[in-house]
Order: sequence, then structure tokens, then C-alpha cells
Amino acid sequence: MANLRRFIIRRLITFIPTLIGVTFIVFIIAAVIPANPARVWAGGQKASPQVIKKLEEEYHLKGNLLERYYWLIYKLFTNQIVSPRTHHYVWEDLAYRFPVTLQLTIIAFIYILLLGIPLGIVAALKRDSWIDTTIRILALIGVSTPVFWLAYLLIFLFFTQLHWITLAGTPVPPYSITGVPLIDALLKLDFKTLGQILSRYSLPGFILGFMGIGVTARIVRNSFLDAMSADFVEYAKARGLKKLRIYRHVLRNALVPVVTVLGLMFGGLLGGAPITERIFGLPGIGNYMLQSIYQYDYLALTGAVFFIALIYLTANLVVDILYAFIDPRVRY
Amino acid sequence: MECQPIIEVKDLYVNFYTYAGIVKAIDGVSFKICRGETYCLVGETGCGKSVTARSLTRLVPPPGRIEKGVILYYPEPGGKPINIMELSEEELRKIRGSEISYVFQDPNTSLDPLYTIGYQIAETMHAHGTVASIKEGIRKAVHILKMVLMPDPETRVKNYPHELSGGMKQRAVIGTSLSNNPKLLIADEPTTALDATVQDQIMDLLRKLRRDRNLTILLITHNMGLVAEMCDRVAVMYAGRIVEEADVYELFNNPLHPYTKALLRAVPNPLKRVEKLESIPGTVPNLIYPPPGCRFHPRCPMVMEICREKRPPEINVKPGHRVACWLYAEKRGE
Amino acid sequence: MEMAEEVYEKKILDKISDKVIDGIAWLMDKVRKGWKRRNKARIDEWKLMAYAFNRSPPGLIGFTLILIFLALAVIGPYIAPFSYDLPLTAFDSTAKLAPPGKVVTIKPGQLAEFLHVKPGNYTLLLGSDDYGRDLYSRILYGARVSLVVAILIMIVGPWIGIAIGLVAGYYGGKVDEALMRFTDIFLAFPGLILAIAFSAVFPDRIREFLAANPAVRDFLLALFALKPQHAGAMASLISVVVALWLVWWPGYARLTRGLVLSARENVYVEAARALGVPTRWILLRHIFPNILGPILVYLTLDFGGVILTEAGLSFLGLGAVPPIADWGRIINDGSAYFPNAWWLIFYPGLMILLTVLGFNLIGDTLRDVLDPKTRRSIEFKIKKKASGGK
Repeated sequence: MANLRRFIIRRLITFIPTLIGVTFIVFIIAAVIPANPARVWAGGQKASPQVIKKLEEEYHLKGNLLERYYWLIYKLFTNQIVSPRTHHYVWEDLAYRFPVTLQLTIIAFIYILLLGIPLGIVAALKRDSWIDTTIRILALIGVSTPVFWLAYLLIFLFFTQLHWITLAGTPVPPYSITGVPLIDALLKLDFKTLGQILSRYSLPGFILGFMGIGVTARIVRNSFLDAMSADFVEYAKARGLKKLRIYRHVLRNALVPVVTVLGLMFGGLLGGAPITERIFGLPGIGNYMLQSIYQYDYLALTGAVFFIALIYLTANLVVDILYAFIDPRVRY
Repeated sequence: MECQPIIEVKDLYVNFYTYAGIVKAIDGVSFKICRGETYCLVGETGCGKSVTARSLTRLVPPPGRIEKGVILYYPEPGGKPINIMELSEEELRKIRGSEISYVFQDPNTSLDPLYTIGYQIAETMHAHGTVASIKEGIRKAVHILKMVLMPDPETRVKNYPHELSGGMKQRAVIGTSLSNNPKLLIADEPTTALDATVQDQIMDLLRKLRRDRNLTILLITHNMGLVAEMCDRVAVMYAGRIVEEADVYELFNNPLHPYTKALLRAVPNPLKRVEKLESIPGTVPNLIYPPPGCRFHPRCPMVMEICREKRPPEINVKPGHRVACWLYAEKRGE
Repeated sequence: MEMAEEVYEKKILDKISDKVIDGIAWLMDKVRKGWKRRNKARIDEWKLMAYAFNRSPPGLIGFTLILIFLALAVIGPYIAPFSYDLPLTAFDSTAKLAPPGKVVTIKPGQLAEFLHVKPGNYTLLLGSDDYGRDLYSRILYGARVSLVVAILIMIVGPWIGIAIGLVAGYYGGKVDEALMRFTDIFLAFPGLILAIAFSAVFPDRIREFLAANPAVRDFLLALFALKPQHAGAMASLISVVVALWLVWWPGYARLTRGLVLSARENVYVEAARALGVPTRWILLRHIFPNILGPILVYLTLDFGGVILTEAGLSFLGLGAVPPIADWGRIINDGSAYFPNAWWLIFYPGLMILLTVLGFNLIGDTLRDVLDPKTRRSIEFKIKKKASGGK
């Protein structure tokens, strides 16, 4: 366990530099390259020089890059930056939009877990049968499909034709415990709100998770096959272990790569959020990022990137620690 | 000393159903291991030694299948035998690891990397009811590690396989395999994956355990030196068949089969002075389309017409020395 | 009889692949004397891989799809009935959002002459969009745009990573540590988000660059089959390319580093080092050729990913801007008229799907083919057939 603690501490030490690294790169590119954001914020060509100058001063648009970066991150964290586009505090904007993206990601993740893992296990158990081939082909088609295209096809089917889902509004229950309506409704067993949330989010979640289902199925299949054909499984049989116990060895070993991939997948889902949120008109962080980009609002953009990086890196951290729990070799 | 068999194999056939075709890996193998002896199976890589050993508890992995044969296991000296081929999976499981145990070639992959050594020993004992709980098993595992001369067993019991050296891992594997006091230990090239110095230590350990616990050992190896050092009786395998079987002195002094002779010329002979090592011409045959007749005939320097057509019979040249070769059938026929 | 025919067909494919490989070997021999002799084993292995590939239906389907796609990308702009930005509504008001199969009449006159269109009746195979632009023509132009974008990304992005991986893997130590930490920063973040952030900020600078370098601009316009007046729109497209250069390398850096680490353990590399062969030489002559195989498979598999990502960015409005006929952009433009004008979304999406599927099928098959186990069984089957025929 001492090893484990050392591992976690070491892992935490790399956390902060990575976070700074990512946001700094985004900041540099977003802040240095566009012609003059202040002019855009002030209203384009007709903007008065005084307003531009004022904006430049207010947002620290001139000066030493490192100092500007520090200023921005500091102000973001202390919630002092007002977006020139939305005229709200950026951090508040993000916190307000976060539950939408989180719910979307959770539902996408549930699809991946419920479909990808069983499909992969079935394919591994029925190796080289027609079931395996079918799952393999489906997975291949899955990773080849442009999700935004699939989204429209499914909207046509479930919304236009069958009227099973809704495409407007974001259900928010009157109470708030964690701030995330999905979790709150679950905690309160409020099935009406839950139903509303599901009818709004189930299709976007599926679209967001779609590519991950195929990828997961493939990785689960391969890691199961690897684990099942491992020498220690043969030795476990030779030792006369009971079937269930042998399965436990297989499962735990197969899980090692799967956990890593699922962790990375979580980040991939965050990356896919802008597309899904745009198609389904969900006011999440992805959409916020896109709006910031369209309006040259690099302050909000850096803020959003920072926010996503924070979530993503935390998710990775959790996965790594989980990984160290199941695989003692990682702890070294 | 009269032979009290512990296991007896009669006319074993094993095929592997691969994409390329059916590999006739074991083709009519019969032998018997006596209680208390160390019996060796020798031969080149791919000759079917390991498959034979795994067949003894029907541990042949798919796409392999035991086509026919009888495998008799005698739990008690002189008692009634059990036909392994007729047992259910559960009955087999109870024999594996408690009556008949295995040690495989590579200790680096034999142990599950995600569990401690102690846990894996404990679960082996627990599976056969030797201990009531895993906790108790882990406590007993310390004694087992002591028995296999593991340094610092109290610490090692809590170690994961990757924290041990290759030799220590193999000690742990041997300990795991012996944890239920099996009667027969099948050691499948137990030292091939280890450093030369560690090899000696492991062989010393096996010798000591055999002496202390009156173990019967089936040793599979391609190392003639080990054969001379360890074995009482030897069977030489070639391309899925036993070509010669004899007591170890007889085999080294009076090899009969051309393959055995070639094999002994190819390695330093521990009993005889050999002027020059010779390699065996030709290559190991493809067992999807094995050569007809005697499987060694394409490489045999003494090949005759009949060798190409008919499978040679097994001839008992002396008590305890049999050979499958037409050369000796003719001599007797004359 | 049917069986015999099938064997015969495969034989033709094998002969073709033999010819192609011999041709490559001949070329290499021309460039470097004695190459063929020195690489005899490698050539034979390639041939064997080709036989294995020829026997995999998914691989052949993928190969066919990619051939069709490549052909469309090359000749598409020449066989398209209309230009990608021609508003047919100028001739026929019913051409707006016309469904597939609709017939449009172009009357002779000044306008037709001015727009270089031949008068006559045209069937709009796949319908038209809100400006009355022919979807079929736009999809053909789109093939060119997608392919060129993907190639532009692939000839730079991955190679940044490969170079970093080579250096990190070979030198090890502090260099390796520094480069890999840097790589980790990029890996520790969803690439698509970075690409979105980057692609939004480059267009202005690229527009300036293109204006200052007319030769580059004209070359790129020809490459994309775009009209000169759309050079400004092209800047956004290039911006996506640059953005993807910046995010498409970390995976390759990791992969290459791993391959180099295992390749440098090889005896011949140690021998070369012991003989005092210069580092650069060892890297390029001894290590690189030996790790190229897996890298190429990864590149093939990745091509589909690049096309998907670029289409996604265009769909978000970050890549191609109107009137450029990028497949993702066509879907974005058409989404406003969904589901009534479903064809504006269905057909371009189908094109993306088939193209990406083609690359993925090839990549998947290549992975099998490069696996010695699979190849051996195929080698065996061929030999059996050969001996059975005698």
C-alpha cells in the first residue's frame, strides 16, 4: 500500500504541469494569432478607438505573454472575468453549462458500458463464429460512421416519424442536490423528471457514445482473448481451480486494458460534445466553446479549455489510480 | 524392483484442428510410469512431448482434441485404476493440482500477475479443500515457500510475481503445484526459460523434493544432460510417436533407434566420449502431412523400402527396452 | 467448375500484385543499385502479404471503395455537370431544393454563356440545395477537397510525431524524458477540442500568407479544384489542415518511440553502433526501414479518422466555408432544411461513411496480413493448392 500511495503522489505531481501546459498552448495560439479581438468585441470595423483601448486595458490584451496568461488564469479562477460576448462571468457560465455536458457524457458512457462490453465479451466467447464476424463488421462500420450524419438519420426516425423523443428544452427539476438534474432525479426517485431527461438526452447520448461502442467492443474482445489464452489460465486449470475462479482471473486481467481505454474514452466523449450539442441544441460546454470561437472570445475559449482540461485530467487521474489498484505492476 | 504403475497411457491419439489442416500431433503413444521413479520424455521442439504430458489430465487446449486412447491413473499402489478419459470435468478438476500437478516451462507467465504469490498458493489449496479459507491458505503458504527454499518466505508471500526473479518465480510455481501433496508431478521443461545457474538450483530442488516426499516425476526436456542427471527411465519421442524407451543407462550405452543415435551424437554424451558433435540432417516433418510409414524415414541414414510404407512395430529387444524400428523387426524375423 | 473459376480469378489478382511489387522493386533498383538483390527476402515477403490480402474479402472491398474514391477525387471536377457554386435557380426557379431526379431546363441565352453552361435539359441526379446548386456536382468536387485535405494533413502531421518518436527513442535519457512529457501534454487532452480551438484562430493569418504568396495560392487552388475568387474561403480550409497538423502527431510519437526502443535492441543496430556508424545513418538506414511497416498500417487506419475529423470540423463550420463543397460543409448547410431536403444530408454522409469504411477495411486487413500467424496459414494454403494442381 505504501507503493500505491507513492504512485498516487507522483501521479498528482504530473497533474498540474500538464494542466498548465495544455491551457498555455491554447492561450498562446488563441491570444496571439487573431488580428485584434478587441476590435471584434467592440463591434468590428465601426468600433471607436476609445472603446477598443478600454477593452484592451480591461482584458490585458497587451504586454508580456506569461504575465497575461497568469492574469487570465488567476482572474478565471477567482471568477473575475466577464465574457465580452455573454456579459456573464466566464466561470459561472461554465458552471451553469457543465451539468448538461456531464449528463450527456454519462448517458453516452452508459451506452458504451451496456453495449460495448457485452458485445466484446460475446465476440470473444464465440470467437470466429458468425456472431463474432457480425460484431466485428458492426464495430468497423461504427468507427467509420460520421456521427453527425447518423444523428440526422436517427432524428428523422425517432423524432419526425415516431415522436419518441423531444428536441427542445433542458429539463431541470425544482430541487437541486448535486446540481446535476440526472443524478438529483435519481436520488429523489423522481421518475417524471427522469423520463423527461431521458427523452431529451437518450438520443444525443447514443450519438455521442456511438463510436465508442464499436471501439470498446473491439478492445474488450481482444483483451478477453488475450487473457483467455494466457499461460496462467492454463496453469490455473492445471492447478484444478474451479471454473468461476478461473473466470475471475481472466476477467481481472482482461479488465486492465479495458479500464485504460474507457478512461481515455471519457475524454474522447468530452471532445465529441461540441458536435452532439450543436446538432441537438443542447446548451453545454461544447456549444459554449463554439459560440466563443465564432465571436473571437478567446477569454471564454481559454476558460472552457481550462475547464475541460480539468475534468479530463481528473478523469484520467481517477483511471490511473483505479489502474494501479487492479494492476500491481503499475505501482512499482 | 517391480514396477507399480501410477499412470498408464495406451494408444493415445491427439489431433489439432488448425486453419492449415489437421495436425496429427500424437500418433499412437503408449507408456507407463512407475511409482517413485523419474520418467523422462525427450525429443526436439514440436515432437509432442508437452501435448502428451497435458493429455494425462486432458489438459489439451483447443483446437487440440484427444481422438482416442486410454489413460489409467492408479491413486493407490496396486489399487483399482481410474480411466481419466471417462471422468467428468469436475472429477478431472479434483485430480488436477491435488493428485497430478504440473510445472510449466515459463514461470514468468505461469502466475497471474495481478495476485500475490501467497494468494495463488492459497487458492490452489482452497480449491481442493486442503485449507478451509484463503486466509488460512496464505498462512500455510509461508511453510510451502520454506519447503521450496524460497529466501525470506514471510515477505515473499506478500509479493506479486513481477517482484520476484525468474528462479524465485519457478520456486513459487513448484510450491504451488506441490501444495496439495500430489502423487505425480509433471515438470514440462521446468528450467528452459531460466538462467543456467538457476537451472541447477531448480533441478537440485526437484531432486531434494523427490527424495523427501517420495514423488513420482514426469520430466519433459530436450536437454540430454538433464536426462542423464535426473531420470530413471527415458522415452524418446519423434514426430508424435515414442521411438525408443529404455532405462537411462541402457539408452545412453546402447541406443538402438537411428534417431536416438543421432540425438546422442548431436549432444555431448555424459556417459561416453564423443569425438565430434553432429547435427541431424533434414528438418522436423510437417505433421499435417506426416511421412507415411516410419515418420523418421526421410532423415534416416539406414532407411529401407518397408520404412516408407508401413509403420514400424514396437519391439521389446530386452526387458524394459523397446524400440519402434524396422531394423530390429527384420533381425528378429530372420 | 465454379470452384475452378474462383481459383483462376484469385490467380489473376496474385499476378497483378506480383507485377506491381516487381515494378516497385525495379524502380528501387534504378534509384539505388543492387537494392533488389539485397532485399530479395523483403520482396518475397511483400508478395506473400499481397497474396494474403488478395484472399481477404473485406480487404478487397475496402480496396475497391478506396479506388473508386480516389478516381472520383481525381476526375470528379472534370466529370461534374456543373461547377460547385453554380446557382441553377438563375435559370429555373424550381431548381431550389429540388429532390433527386428533378429535371431542370437551361435556356440558351446571355446568362448561360456568361456562366459557361451548355443549354439543355439536365436531370439532377441527387437533387439540389437552397441556392439550386447541383448536389451531384458538389459531391464530386467534395471528393477532391476531402482527399486533398486528408493528404495535406497526413504528409505533415504524423511525420512530426514520427520524427519526435525517432529522436526520443534513439537518444533516450533526458531528451526522451523532455520530448515525451511534451507529448503527454498533448495526449492529455481531447484532440478534437484543441483542433476546434486552433482552427478558429488561423484563417486571418493564412489569408495574409496566401495573399503574399500567389504561387502557393494558385497551386493550392488547382489542387482543391477551386475558382480563384474563392481563395479567401480556402484559407479556412487550410486553417483546419494546420490545426490538425498540431494535434495529429502525439499518437505517432508514442508509437514510433516504442518501435524504436525495441528496434534498437536488435543485434545489427548494436553492431552498427559498435562499428562507429554515425547516429543519423543508423536511424535512417537501419532503424527506420524496419519500423516502417507498423507505421504504415497505422497511417492507413488513421486516414479514415482524419477524413472523419475534418468532416466533423467542417460540419461545425470551422473548416470549409461556403461555397466550398466539402462533404461535412454540405451537411452543415443542408441541416437547416432537414428533414424535408433529406438528400442534402444523406448522400454526402454516405460518401464519408463509404470512404472511411474503405480505409478502415484496408487497415484492418493489413493488420491481419502483417501478423505472421495469419500469413503462415495462407502461405500454407497456397502451397497446398500448388502441390494439389500437379
